[in-house]
Amino acid sequence: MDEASTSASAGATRRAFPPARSGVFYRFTQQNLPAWKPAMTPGCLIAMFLIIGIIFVPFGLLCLQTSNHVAEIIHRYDVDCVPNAYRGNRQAYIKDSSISKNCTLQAKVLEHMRAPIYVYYELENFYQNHRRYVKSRSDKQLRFGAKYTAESCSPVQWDNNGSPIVPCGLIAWSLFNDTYDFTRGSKEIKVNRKNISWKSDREHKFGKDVFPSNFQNGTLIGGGKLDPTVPLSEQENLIVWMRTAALPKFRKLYGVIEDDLHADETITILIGNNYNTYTFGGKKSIVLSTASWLGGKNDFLGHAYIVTGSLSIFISILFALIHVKYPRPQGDPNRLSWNRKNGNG
Amino acid sequence: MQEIVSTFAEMKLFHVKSLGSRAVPKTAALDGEIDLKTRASPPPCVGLEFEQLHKIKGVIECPIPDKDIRRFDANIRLFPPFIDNDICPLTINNTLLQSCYLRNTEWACGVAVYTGNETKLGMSRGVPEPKLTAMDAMIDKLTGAIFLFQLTVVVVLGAAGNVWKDMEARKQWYVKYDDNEPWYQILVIPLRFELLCSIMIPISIKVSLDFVKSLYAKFIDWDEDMYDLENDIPAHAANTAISEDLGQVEYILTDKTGTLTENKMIFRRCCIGGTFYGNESGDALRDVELLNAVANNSPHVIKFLKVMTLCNTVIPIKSPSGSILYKAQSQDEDALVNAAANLHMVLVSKNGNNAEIHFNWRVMQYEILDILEFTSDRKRMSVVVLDCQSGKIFLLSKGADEAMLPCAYSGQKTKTFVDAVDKYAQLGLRTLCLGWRELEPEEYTKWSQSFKEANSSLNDREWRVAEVCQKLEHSLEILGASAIEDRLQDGVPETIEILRQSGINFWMLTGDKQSTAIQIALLCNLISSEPKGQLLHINGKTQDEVARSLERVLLTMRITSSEPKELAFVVDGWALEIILSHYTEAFTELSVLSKTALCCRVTPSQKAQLVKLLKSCDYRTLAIGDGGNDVRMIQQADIGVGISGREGLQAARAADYSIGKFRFLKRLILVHGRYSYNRTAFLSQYSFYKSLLICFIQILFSFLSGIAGTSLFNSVSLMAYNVFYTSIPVLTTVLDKDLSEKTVMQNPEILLYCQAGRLLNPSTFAGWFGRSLYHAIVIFLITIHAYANEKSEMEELSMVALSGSIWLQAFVVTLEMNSFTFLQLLAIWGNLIAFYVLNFFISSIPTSGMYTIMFRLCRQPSYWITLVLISGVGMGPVLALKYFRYTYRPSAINILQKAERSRGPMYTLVNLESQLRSDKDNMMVAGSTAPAKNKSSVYEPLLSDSPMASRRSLGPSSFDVFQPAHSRTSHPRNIKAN
Repeated sequence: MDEASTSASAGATRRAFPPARSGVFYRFTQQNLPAWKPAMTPGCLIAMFLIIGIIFVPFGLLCLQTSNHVAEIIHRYDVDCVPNAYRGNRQAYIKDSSISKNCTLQAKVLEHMRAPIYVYYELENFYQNHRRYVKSRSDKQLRFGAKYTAESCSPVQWDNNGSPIVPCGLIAWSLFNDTYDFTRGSKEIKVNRKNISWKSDREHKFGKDVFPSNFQNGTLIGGGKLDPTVPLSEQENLIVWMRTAALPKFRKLYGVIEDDLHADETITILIGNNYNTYTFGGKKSIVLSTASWLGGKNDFLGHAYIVTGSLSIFISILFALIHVKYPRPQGDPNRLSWNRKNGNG
Repeated sequence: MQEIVSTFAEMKLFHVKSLGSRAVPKTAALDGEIDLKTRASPPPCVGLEFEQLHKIKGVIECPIPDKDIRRFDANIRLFPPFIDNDICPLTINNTLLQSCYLRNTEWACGVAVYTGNETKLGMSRGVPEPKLTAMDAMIDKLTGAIFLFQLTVVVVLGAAGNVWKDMEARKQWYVKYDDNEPWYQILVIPLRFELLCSIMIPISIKVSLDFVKSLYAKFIDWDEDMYDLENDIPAHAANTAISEDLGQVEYILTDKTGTLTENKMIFRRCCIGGTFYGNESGDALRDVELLNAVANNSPHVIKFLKVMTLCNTVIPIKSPSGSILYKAQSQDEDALVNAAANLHMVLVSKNGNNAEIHFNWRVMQYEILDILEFTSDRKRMSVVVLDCQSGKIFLLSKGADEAMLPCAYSGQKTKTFVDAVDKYAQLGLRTLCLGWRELEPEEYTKWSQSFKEANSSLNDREWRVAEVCQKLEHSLEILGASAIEDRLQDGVPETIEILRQSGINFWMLTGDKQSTAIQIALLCNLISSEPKGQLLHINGKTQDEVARSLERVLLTMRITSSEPKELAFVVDGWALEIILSHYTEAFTELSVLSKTALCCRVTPSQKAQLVKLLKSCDYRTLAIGDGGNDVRMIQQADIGVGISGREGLQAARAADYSIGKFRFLKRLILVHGRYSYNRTAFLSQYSFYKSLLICFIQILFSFLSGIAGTSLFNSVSLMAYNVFYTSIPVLTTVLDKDLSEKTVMQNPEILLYCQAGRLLNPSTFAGWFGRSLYHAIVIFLITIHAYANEKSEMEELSMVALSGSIWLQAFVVTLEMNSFTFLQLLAIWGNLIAFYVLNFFISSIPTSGMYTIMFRLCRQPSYWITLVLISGVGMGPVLALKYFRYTYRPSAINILQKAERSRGPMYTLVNLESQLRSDKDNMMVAGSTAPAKNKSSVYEPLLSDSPMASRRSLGPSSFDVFQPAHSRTSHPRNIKAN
């Protein structure tokens, strides 16, 4: 830019603009800011992929290790809990309130599970993310009470008498209402159902002075009922349920077992199989799981890291080989023969 | 009116108090010309006393206002007692237009003729037609394609959604679909998808483009390297919207005088009565022979000098110091008068119609009776003067040789003058023939009457006046020819050389003589002399002759296109007129074949026609000129560049860009145009990419949400995504430079990539489309697997996916930028930080749906691990592909980048040539492998199968390779757009 600088200095006496002939703004106006121009050299790139691979693979192993340390017991019960007589007509079973919905399940603890053990229910093929469903709620009503009952809750906002339903909306209406009780031998295992929801939800999203009213008293009853004497902020199963899941297969926290479960122990789970997933073929499972710093048992991150890292190393080796075999002198147009390149193609 | 008062209405002058009853208004605001123009009161009003002014009664007939500020044809008739009932013509010379400033005038008195918006100025304001760049057109096309894609998605997913609803969703009791809902419910799902997909077409692209385009324009305004120090004129971009087109210019149509040359006329040689002066020294004013002839009162020389002095519209102004300055509207006249003054024939003053001349201290008085003005059609001007001493009336004429020589009296040998003119023209000098004739008083009186009539006619005045003038201008005694030098501007040959190297074709359109034009063209590298180049002439006076000539040239052009020869054709205005009206097709073919053309003796409208012709072949044209005769061409062209020169600012005001010197054109095109193109190409495609990305994620999510059209992202995030999260980093692309300015200047061939539209076309767009699809899949799959089971909370999962998109975008912008100033780094990474800051803020509002979400996520190690994974998987293949291309399939840009980065921008021309030639070969060879290359998702232009590669041969040596393309008559540009 010698030319430019000389002409600029020559013009300095005659020209008013830009006022400063140096400085950042002046260089900006001349599109002449100091710039870093990274060069994509083979060495740099090969090293980069190699480093990524070297970091990713061990990290993936670590993730996998962590995930493996999480002990998990899963039992699907929606099929097993249907009495044999009703196997052919599950919907009749679930809709008939005269039939006892209780059902017991034996689960064997394969490895030692250290407290806290999280009890989840898992639903599959349940679309909590369906647009019609996910929108059908009123955050204001949950927080401030019945006067904020809104059309957004449609189609479940008014009962037959026209009084507002609290909590309104499809989500609350379809509240999951299976129950679980755990016994070890004859001794009941205590399941703590407090503090299973987000603290922020209890404090800021669900009102302490909002009580359920007119809930599930229509002709069509969806899911579980709520105790009208308990404020919403303490109806933690509702609060958990109202945090809609983004995927059709999801787990929601039911409670926390605060005792260790020992390996080879058999625990009995008494299930109140109330929730109807039979009409649409949804699956229900009970999950007991410990947690790690990565969350529950999930091998995906570990596997993904290992695969990505390996591929990265593979690419770096591949590029290195290509580079060794067909070196490209960087930016030397004299030696850059296009014919040779085409030969390699 | 007092001095320095802007006029509000357009006025007829009645009385003016200044030298010689002339007002001298400054019309800078009107036509941009800074020289003063004289305006006089009409003859009947001359000599009125100040006290009489308010008693004037009369009628002014004037046409309805039009926008021609150069003409005003009206009549005035004063009622008695003032003078007589004679109708007196009024012209533009008696008119003060709106927004003029009076100078050198004590006061002026007039009558308002037009007022308000109905003045000539008001009418000529006009709304300029908005120009659309090729890029804008391409972006519109792509937008249309995206819109179709969007419709398809809506229809397909809408139908699928309805099917799923009937098959599955009705069984899902918790969704509570009504069993007997009205028929229009079937439209709900498609409409929801329409809402989801509406973000597919980025609205922000318009805002971003407007922003960067105005910055491009600012960069042009600010550019010190395009600052004309000589005249203190910065470059200016009047049209801020078409900078990209500068990078795509294919044809430059340039004016000669004032554009290529300096328009600083200097009288150099002359031929008087068969004697050549100034041939040895190159300066007639220092030629002893001429000085002697003047001293000896050689009659021919005296006559010659008198014509030089009198036959013009120059106004002498006596400065206080006593020296005389000349105000001339034409540079030629200025040169002639000044030269005559140097030869002791000094025009001292012009008072009204009286001119006073000092010759060797002898005073001569002349009365100027009539001025037969110069028009570009007549190509000559004359004055009728009365010699006050002898009482004789003379007609003094000057003009172009072909306009003057036929007027010579029969019997005069004009051969010497023809030779002289030819000789001068070959030297690149401008020639004028001077002639004179003594008029009989009766002849003059008779003619004067008809001249007055013609001048007072309201219809076709110009044409009638010309006809009348014709009647007087005959039987002239040709005195001689003058030769005026118009020097080439600095750096013109280099500029043309570089621009032609970059693949731009040059056409020179000039009003000048053919030989002068050819000479100038040779001087400025436009054409080469034999044997390197060949100039083909198209001429002829009749239609048949022209047709034959055209046919012959076309044939030669086809045959020799295989030879390494620079072919050019030259055509004059007359032949051009015939060609344009009868043989457009053949001429179009010729235009495609020929890289260079000289068009001489063309009128402004022909210039515009030629531009139109090239535009109709889908070429990007740039017209550059400096004078009023270039305005039409400048307005017609895709890009008009005006040179703020000596002929006023008229062209510069009509133009999209104005520059001070022709040599700045190379910087305007190669630096500003090219960068603008590259930057906009990236910006626009990136805008589509980011919108598509978010949209693809939504679509993928819909498959997991029962095809019901649920939005994964909440409305706040969606809104902020386009406005805040993704728009700022990419705006800093205005600072990106793929190659340094120096490298570009040394390798102008690189402009090919912009001209051919290699960086923004459907195939590069397909790359970006593929990339957004790939990234959407990566983000979505990783997110739903990493955040499965107990973590699959809607708000959290959506925020993870959103963060993934933002991270990837930061990396994509980083990868696609070529140079990083601190502003870019700040914008890219600062934006990422701002994303978190903004979300922390939203997450701390209890009523928002996202309350605490961001805080929760940032505490989870799995969130960060997931994002790193998304970045790695998303960018890895893109990076690898880019590297592979860059190293093993490099474009010429990549090669130059490598050269620049490995050892500075040192590049010899030899290297470059061999390299670009091989680049071209490569394009040819790679043609077979092209389909495989197109599939990848990295954006990379199709180097190989673009027909542009063939049309724009980069060097003369490669003509043979591209012969097939040259023999085509269709215009490859059309194919380029595919």
